[in-house]
Amino acid sequence: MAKKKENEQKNIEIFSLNKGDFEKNGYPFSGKRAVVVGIYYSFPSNQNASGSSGTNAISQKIIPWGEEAEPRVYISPFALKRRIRDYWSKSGEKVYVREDRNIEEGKNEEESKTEKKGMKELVNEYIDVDLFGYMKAESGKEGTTRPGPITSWGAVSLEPVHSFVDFNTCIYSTTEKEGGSIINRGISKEFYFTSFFINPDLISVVLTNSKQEGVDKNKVLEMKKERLNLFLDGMKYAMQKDTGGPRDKPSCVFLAVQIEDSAYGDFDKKLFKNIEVKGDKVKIKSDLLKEEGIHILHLDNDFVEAPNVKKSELDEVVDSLLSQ
Amino acid sequence: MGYWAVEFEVEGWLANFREATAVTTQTTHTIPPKSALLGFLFAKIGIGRSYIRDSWPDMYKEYIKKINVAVAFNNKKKVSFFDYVLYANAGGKGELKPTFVEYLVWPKYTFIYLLPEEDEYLGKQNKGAILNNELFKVSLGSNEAPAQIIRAREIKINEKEAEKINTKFIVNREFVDSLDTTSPTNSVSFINEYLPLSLPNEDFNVSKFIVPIGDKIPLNLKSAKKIYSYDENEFMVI
Repeated sequence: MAKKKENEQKNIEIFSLNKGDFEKNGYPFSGKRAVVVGIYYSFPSNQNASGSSGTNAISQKIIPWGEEAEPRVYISPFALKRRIRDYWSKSGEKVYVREDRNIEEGKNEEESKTEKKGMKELVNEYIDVDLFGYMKAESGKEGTTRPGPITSWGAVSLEPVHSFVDFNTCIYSTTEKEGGSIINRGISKEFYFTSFFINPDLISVVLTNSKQEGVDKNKVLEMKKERLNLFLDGMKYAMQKDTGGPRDKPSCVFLAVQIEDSAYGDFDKKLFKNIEVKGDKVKIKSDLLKEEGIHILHLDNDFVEAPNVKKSELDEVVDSLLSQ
Repeated sequence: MGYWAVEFEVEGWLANFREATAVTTQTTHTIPPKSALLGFLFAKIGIGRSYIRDSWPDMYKEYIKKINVAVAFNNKKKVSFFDYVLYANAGGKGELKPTFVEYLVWPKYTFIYLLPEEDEYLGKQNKGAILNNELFKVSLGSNEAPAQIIRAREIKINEKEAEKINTKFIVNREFVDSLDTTSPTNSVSFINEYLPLSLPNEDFNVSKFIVPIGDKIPLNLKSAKKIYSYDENEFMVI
């Protein structure tokens, strides 16, 4: 009896991510790991407010970068994921972390139904719980967590920022008094660089150390495929969402995926170190794009100067990520 | 029991090793505590941890005692910033809760692990997986700080007893008498920092460390201590 209790405890505490454990539970396992790199071009705009400057003066999120502490514009991973979530919403997917969740406790019936769902149901129902993970900490209770199969550190401008302050007017008052408001926004023209990391084995899988029943391998594979397509589409199109002004829509000018076995590559770091901004173009200074395992999904020659490379189809990249 | 040693050169875009006392303003340690270094290794070989508030799995409690580590901070300067983050669902009330998180920018580290030679997970028979696999994405303290392993290799190390050390790795302040001013060196740069030696909530134990910044620092020790060396490097372990 004591031994059984001990085993149950261990099941709760750790889980393993190795091929044998996955296959034992009927899950597919590819062992592939991917790095996704995106470069975006924006006309003068404020992509991520600093959050510390108040409602009437909206500064950009400017951070010291590198050992020289150059001022660069930063977009947090939360802001990037927000845009991707909104893109998924528009595509008809259900997302769990929504802006309208900022509501008083107990006021929303849908909310309380959701809270009672198990992790398996949440993963099946909400694409963002599946791809970006989930964590709920409750005081005095056991927390619930799901490691995100897709992670990112955010995005940073490729050059030191030359920000200026734009003058806007708003027909609504930010101080809740009658009349409109005058708003100042820090804006700049930038190329933004971001990288995301994908662990395809974790997608559409609920991790536990105990044996799972009724896993349909083909259904799981189909779900992985569909959601990976939606994520990579999101990387290309989500930034173009209208965030409140006609100048706030950066375009994706470059999107590539590096796929390796058992470990993540370093394509993003290498590319970041081999890029030069020349006016309204970025120049890739090496033959990095021709290396094995690099798949170019999008390259806009109007903005990116690079050696001539073959582009890949989205389906082909997703198949390669999931191949066992 | 014998041990074997591995070295990782690691570089991140960002890092946040949250200080245990920080809540709504999450300041960071400059270098990862031993618990983060253990998580780094487990992530590589695919061992994940369920989140149980105020509790750690037995496996973490066991292995934090089984391994020894050394860490060097390889940047010439420490650069950090505070990001303003709104966490959804904080406190379980559906509210958005503002939090400031301090991130180190483009941090570079050397991690050394002394691992038990015979062990189910970290033994030498798992060398290939420990060095080459990355089943979970390794990170520098938080999910928003994924890390890159620049180089991973097994190292052959020597042991000696010595009263002096010239090192780029962190050293427990309680063992140090003074700076060795007789040793030829470049300009010396270091900070003092308190770091936890245990898992949070497990007989929480904190010590003051000397953290050399980007270069070696010559130190006189209070008494002879065990010093490890490989290539041109000397280090003490935690």
